[in-house]
Amino acid sequence: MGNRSQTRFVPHGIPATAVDGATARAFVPEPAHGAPEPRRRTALSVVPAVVGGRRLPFAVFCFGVMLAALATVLVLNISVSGGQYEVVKLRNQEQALTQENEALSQQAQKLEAPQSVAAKAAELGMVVPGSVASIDLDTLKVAGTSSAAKAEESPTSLVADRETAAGTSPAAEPATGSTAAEPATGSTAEDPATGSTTGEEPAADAPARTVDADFAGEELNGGTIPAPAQQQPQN
Amino acid sequence: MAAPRTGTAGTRTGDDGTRQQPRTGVRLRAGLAMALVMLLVLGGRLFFVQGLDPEGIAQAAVKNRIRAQTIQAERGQILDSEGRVLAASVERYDLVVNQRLLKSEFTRKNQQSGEREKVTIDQAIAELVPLLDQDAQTLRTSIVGRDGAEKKGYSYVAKGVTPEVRNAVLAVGIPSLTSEQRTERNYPNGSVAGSILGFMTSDGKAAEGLELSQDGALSGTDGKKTYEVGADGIRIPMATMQEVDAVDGQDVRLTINSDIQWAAQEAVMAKQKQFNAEWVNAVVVEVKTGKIRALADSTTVDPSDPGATDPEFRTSTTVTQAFEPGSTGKVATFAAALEEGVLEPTEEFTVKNSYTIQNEKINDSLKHATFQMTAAGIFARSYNTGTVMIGSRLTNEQRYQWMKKLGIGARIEIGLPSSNPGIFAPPAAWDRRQQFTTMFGQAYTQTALHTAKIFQTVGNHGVQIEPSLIEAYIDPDGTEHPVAAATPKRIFSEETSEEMRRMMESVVDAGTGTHMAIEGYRVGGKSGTGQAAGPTGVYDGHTSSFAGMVPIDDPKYLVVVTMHRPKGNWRTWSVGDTFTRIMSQTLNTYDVAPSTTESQAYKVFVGKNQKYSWD
Repeated sequence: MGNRSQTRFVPHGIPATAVDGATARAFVPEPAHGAPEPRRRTALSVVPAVVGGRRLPFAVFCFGVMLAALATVLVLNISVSGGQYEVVKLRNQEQALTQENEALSQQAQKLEAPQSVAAKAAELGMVVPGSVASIDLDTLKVAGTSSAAKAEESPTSLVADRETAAGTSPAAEPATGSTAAEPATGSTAEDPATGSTTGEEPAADAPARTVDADFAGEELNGGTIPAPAQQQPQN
Repeated sequence: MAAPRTGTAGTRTGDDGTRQQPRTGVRLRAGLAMALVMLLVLGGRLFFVQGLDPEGIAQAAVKNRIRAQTIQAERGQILDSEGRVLAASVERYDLVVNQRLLKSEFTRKNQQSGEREKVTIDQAIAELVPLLDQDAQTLRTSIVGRDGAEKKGYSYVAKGVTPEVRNAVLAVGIPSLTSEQRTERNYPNGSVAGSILGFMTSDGKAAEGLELSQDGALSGTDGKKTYEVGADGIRIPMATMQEVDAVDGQDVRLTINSDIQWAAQEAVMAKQKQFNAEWVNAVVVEVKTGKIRALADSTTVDPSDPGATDPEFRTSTTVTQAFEPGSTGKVATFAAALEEGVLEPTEEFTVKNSYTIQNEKINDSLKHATFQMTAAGIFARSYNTGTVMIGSRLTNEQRYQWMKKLGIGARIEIGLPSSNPGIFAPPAAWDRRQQFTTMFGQAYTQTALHTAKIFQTVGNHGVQIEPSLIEAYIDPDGTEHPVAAATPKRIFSEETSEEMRRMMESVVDAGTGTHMAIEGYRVGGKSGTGQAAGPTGVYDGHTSSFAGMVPIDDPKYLVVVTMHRPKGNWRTWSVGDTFTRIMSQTLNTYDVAPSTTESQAYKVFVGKNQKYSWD
């Protein structure tokens, strides 16, 4: 290094100013009388530094290679981890799209459900068809007799009514508050908690079981099915 | 580095150098010592890390970076025969708040302006009200907690919300409100086919119905993913990773047609309302294949909210409820007599109102005059007296064997849990009266599906095919694995089956089933009103039913409607309109051509006059 830096600051051929002892010009004293001829000293002079031939470009080359390698690694690393962030972004996008897709197909399925189709049909004023006659193309005979549809025969929606009465909201079920609204999916048939919810079922929901619809909690004997009891013949 | 003490350089520094020299030396020594100490520390640490437990340390480091994730296998869907989705898994979120970390005011980034703004918790709750469809008070209780009550660290705000709702709620920006993902089962058809599908518990376990019985096929195998993450949670590329893919569950396609299922449910619900019955159910079966097209119940569980339904109705009553079939049970007696060759359909009988055999008096439900009638007429008018005359031509053992062959008393495996085999005692256990009552469908029990199975045998020219509910399993890649059809089993001869069907046509033409006629089609069937025993064994109710097939000359579909414990006068009970409604819908859906042939019903009475009153 020293060599190189020297060559940088002291271009060869230009003598340095005589400030430094080491590079000071030779001072030739007057010869003393009667003294023997003094031994001549080779004058100190500035000599051009030995030029390193290809050493300079080679070092630069090495340095350059190293820099290039570092830069490449850096760029690669950045691009790969950048890709990783991109992957995360795309994943999120994919998830969002999947969710949207799922929501839309659920909506389509809900609309496709027979009870919603029937309700929509009733809403549009459609009625249940009368009996249908058909033509046998081979014999050209009419089989059956057709009858006109009656205006009052709109499709019933008992299934849908029951569902709306049950009050299941697809958006959210209140987690706190009334226990009756709490979905008891977690509990099995043995769970006494479900028993109390069925006991509170609105009467309009289950007109079927007037016999055993209204039993109190203590009648459940800790279970959901009332214990067998003596029944009187009814008919 | 050591400073030169001699030579020209030394002289150059002059007396300055002599003053600085010792201080530099101290500094250097201190630096050296420090470097050595640090080197020692590093060396020690290096020795500790690399020398003592290199593996353990390396593992700990990897463990710190590594993340293991379970890839949840997607639960298969349940589809109807047309491929419509009956049950599917969807992504849902539970919204949870930590009340302890909640402050009365927080800042958030305004979505429009992008600036930070201050929001009070009351304001935020007001924003949540329309999003979650809950009232402000409920929300306040779940988010802030009751006044004075201890704050909860984990309080549910809402369960099972859709991703859109969750995103909207999170955008409100309440800190400490987080969402937890879970999969939930979605039943887009609501309670249509609910009692067949069954349901799942809230923690995602199969609890009932097909969800339970087909859990193995539906659930699939979870996968696993391990990878290394950096401090910011982003995966380190090129680091070790392992991924075992999840194997998604298979889809299950049923034989159920949701259109017919819905129509049948509507019809039985209407019937249940009309007579205030305990339950009404209907079974629709494709006669040629045994495929069940509908299993309808008047009270059907909504699989999204099973708690709202009585446990009794959480599985289809068509397989769980066994009852004494009554007159539909005469099919077995007549068919056995025909098959054994001891009866001809046109054989003449003198049928009185009451018939005594082995000191057991058999009465008909309606007092009637003594008739000269055919065997087919006895079947059509459903007289117990005549049936006992015919049935007693066979031994008890013979009839027992025939009834067993038809499937009475045996469990029908269609994939629904808790299916009821019914009660059917062997003849050795029959008491004196039971040997006669079994001829007309009393003193043994069967489910509506058993009735359907017996009629399927008669309808399919004497060849029985086990009823089936599952049509195919579909792999996640779309490969279908159709369920192998049950091996057909010949029970009756072609001739017996044809005679039985003609007798069934007599029922609809001139017997107890005139309400079951459908315009344009030849209908045949058998009605039945069985007495129903209460818990103490005393008959205290009735089960009224009708099973019919169309077109009776070569049946394609059969419908069984059963009404249990209707209220009111038994003479008004009829499930005829329910039968015709469901049957018409089925014929319509499957484009069954109307009959072009004439009825082949047998004569009911001997002689010209075929019109006698019922009394």
